[in-house]
Amino acid sequence: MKLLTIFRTLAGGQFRLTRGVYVLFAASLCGYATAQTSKLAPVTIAASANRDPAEKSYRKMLQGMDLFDQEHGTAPDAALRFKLLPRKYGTELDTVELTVIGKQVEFGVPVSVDRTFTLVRNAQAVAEDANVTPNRKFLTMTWRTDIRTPGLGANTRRLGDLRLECRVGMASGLISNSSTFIGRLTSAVIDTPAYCERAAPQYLFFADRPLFSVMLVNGARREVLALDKLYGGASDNPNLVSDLPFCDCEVLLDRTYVLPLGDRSWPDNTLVEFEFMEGAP
Amino acid sequence: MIRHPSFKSVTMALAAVITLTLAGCAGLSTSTAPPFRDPALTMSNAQTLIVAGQSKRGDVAAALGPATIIAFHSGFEVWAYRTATAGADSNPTELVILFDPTGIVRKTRVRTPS
Repeated sequence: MKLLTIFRTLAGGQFRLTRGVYVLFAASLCGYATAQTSKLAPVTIAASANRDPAEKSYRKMLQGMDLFDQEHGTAPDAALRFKLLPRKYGTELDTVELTVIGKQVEFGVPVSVDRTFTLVRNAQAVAEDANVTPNRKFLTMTWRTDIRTPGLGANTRRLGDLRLECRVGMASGLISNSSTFIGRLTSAVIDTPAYCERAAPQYLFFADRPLFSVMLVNGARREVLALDKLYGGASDNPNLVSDLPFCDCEVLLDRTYVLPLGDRSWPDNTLVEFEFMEGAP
Repeated sequence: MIRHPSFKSVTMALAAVITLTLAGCAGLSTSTAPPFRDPALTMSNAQTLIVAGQSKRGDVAAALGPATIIAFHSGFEVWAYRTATAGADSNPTELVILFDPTGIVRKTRVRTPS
């Protein structure tokens, strides 16, 4: 009885257990139970310790990979990676563990120190409609694609890469803004790559560092983004404080920007240059 | 150091971020209102009044008037003076000022319509 009480306390969310620890603990319980009464049958624990994980559909993410393969010409020198980002203050991602979990299949996904990862294609995981599951709780983190042409400066991205990030991100089902926040920005529910073709989609990109300015550069043409294209539209949202919990930009607001992805007067080779808050003017 | 009267309360309220307009929390800038207290002040002239590494929040508020303010969890603040409201087709002229967590101007920039 005492052990059951401890178990309930731990499972109730006071402690964050890894799946392995959970299973070990469950196994210990089984042993305890067996010692007390041999009539109990062995129990298989299939539930994850993280009862409310920020999981994504493996099938959907593979659909995004398919779209990347189809449209690789938009970013011909770049590779596709997925990226994990914090959504709440205090979310620790340096030790995050990712696991693809289906009904029978289960395998780990290595996460790089920059919190990016790739997925292998596994037919069984597709058939079982598996999920890509981090050992983090729902709404504590978010996901994006990461498609970078190599050789660019640390303050520079390529518009074609970012266009493809948006399309693949949408196809992969990565965006976890609630409809409340996005609805306020767009008056529409967005979940398809076609959204990225709008002139001013509110697909939120996150720079690597806090932003002061973002400029599009194509040859002699240069244009600084207006302030309302930065910081999740914070400059023009009087309800920002109440809206932020519904935005996956909550703790990345100072890195957030949107781009005129559907404005084809800016070709894919357009450079997106950042001036960061920290550093030389 | 001069601080705007509402700065302290704004700062204390910031668990995350908040956007406010100083000086009585007036509405956001509009296309018809001049961006500065002195309507004759141009963006570039206003920028010359602000010295990176020296000017403080109170100095800027006194010189230019109320701004649209975005205060970040990091302690940095962005102040903006704009000639137009936001929107998908907005193309405003903007003076944007970055304050570091100590309240001193770190950077300024002027955006002109494309």
